[in-house]
Amino acid sequence: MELILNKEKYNVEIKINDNLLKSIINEKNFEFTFRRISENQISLLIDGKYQNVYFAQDDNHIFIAYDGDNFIFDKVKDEDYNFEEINSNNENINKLMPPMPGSVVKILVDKGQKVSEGEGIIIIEAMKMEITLYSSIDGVVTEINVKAGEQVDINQVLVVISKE
Amino acid sequence: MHFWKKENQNGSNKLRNHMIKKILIANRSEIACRIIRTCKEMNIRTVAVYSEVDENALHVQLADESYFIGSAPASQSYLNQEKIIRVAIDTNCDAIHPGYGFLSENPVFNRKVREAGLIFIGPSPEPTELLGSKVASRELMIQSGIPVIQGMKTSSKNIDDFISTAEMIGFPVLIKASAGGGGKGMRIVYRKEELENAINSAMRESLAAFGSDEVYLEKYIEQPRHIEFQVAADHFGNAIHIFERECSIQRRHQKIIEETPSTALNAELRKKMGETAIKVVKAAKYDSVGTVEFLVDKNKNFYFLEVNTRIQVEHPITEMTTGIDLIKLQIMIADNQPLNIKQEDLKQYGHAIECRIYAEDSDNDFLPSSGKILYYKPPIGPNVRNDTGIFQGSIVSVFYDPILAKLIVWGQNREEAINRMILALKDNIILGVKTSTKFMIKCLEHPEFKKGNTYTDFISRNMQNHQEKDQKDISIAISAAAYFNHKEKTYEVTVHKSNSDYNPWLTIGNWEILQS
Repeated sequence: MELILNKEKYNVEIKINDNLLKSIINEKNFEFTFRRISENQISLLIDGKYQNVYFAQDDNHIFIAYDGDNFIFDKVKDEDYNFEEINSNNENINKLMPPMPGSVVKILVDKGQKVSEGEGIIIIEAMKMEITLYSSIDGVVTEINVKAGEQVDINQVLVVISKE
Repeated sequence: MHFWKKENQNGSNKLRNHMIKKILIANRSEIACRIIRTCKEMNIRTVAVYSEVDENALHVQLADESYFIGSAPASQSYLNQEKIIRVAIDTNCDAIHPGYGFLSENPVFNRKVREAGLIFIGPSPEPTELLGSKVASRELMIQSGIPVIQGMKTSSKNIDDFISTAEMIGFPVLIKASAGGGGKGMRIVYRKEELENAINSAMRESLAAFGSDEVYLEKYIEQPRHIEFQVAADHFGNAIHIFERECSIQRRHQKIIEETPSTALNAELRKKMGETAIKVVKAAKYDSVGTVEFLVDKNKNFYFLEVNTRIQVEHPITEMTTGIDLIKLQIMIADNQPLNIKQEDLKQYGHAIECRIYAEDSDNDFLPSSGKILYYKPPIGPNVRNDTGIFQGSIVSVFYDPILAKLIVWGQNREEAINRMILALKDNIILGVKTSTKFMIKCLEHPEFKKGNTYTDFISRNMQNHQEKDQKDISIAISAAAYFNHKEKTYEVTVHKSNSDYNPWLTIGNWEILQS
């Protein structure tokens, strides 16, 4: 299967033989002795100690907790436009999307306006906090898809900046 | 360590009628649950209120009764004063406990509750009003001889006032919301050119959070510690302080790790600051449980910041080191009973730490995270306390503050408390939303934290590269993810031909068992 963590793709295959878990991650091999505790918990022998790893999932994500840390993987699906969308940002085009659901406080630019890299473009508010989204390129505002006060969702393209 | 004596020495408690027999809790999440638990111990009936998205929330599950008060946005539910008071009257409540946030420090609500013939569990409206304005409270403190930080005397809408004050006292300066708290509407400004943008942004944030865009400016003290004193004052002129809490570990100007005692105080400074805190309380004619906040600079000078006229998020560490139930104390004071603890009877015992468990992404500038709690296994063990507002299956909504729970530990000394907290954090399994657990573990493991060098800039100074994940840990996480996600597993089922009893389950051979 394929998993994405922090925009990095991992290809993983596993083999299970009794209490041995073999995984091949991006062509590197790992091997663990394991005990299955429950449908959410597995105990892996790591550095001579059994350590608990916890698991849960929803439609789009796999959640893992290990040694105090959280790992949230995106599941890769056949038509994963989401992943494509994020990766469509390059030096020629910058699609600004909110990192979380919220509402638009203020749009700092007009359509057709020239903007430079690092310039504040739009302010979003969620959970009583303001977040400014900045342009990652020098360019021109070619699309504004929202208005102040509007509720917006994660991965919704709010503003598009294109290179001239 | 129990400092509560069951009866007041002069027996006055015996004669006094306890008025409060039923309380409406005008709040949600962990603090509502916390308050309900103490009420139950005191044999006080509890009424919860909830918004559309909180129908099955933990505070609703715990309360004796619960009532729907409106749609999800707080302005239409938890901030709906008339509705909340109406429910309290209709359900024959004697009192309303506001918790923290929401209506807790709103003098208008405070008055309306009293006008409706109910008891407001908190201070009188006058001190709430006075202390709620940073500008007015600062003036009172200057008059009372309490040390404050240099800056503007009043809020202003005129940028020139900000520029002239900033130039007089020198950069860096701090912009603060007059009605503020919790770091909202607060900005540090290092250069004159940044001033105007910072003011506008602070005003907008303050307006959104508190309904007021009044901001002012003061000298920013670099490398300070945030040390606050828990206080309690009754309606009979008695006031005590219940020692300090150090809350210097902050991100976005909001506390995430708190501890008591503070490594920065010795007995002498503790006494001096405690006495000042009582002086503050008396100057403001304060009459409830509250918190006096100070900044302490490198040279151990301390400056009055503000009084929080509510129960604080971090109150449990005081409870752990003194044995006092602060919610109970708050209810008893509101019930017009005199304080039955004397300053000289109070002792700090051991060391306590609190870590706030927020739904937020510490790898991504602490952006709040929302979603469903898919799996929850909180820590257990001696001297580990978990004040939680979530359960497996609960929804973390985008509408409210993203606090999920608070982990509190107690240890004989600071080292023991730190080690216990690290273990408790590792055992605190919350899946479905992002939490900053690992980040807090890294803070607690940091040599500077262990040395007690906890200044308010601890995170920006010491935690720059905290996002980096170990490749080995990633590989372990991926292996486990793949293990739980593999779709099919084939089991060999042995058919025992010799068994004469016919069993259809044993005749087919290989079974495919779907796992996911």
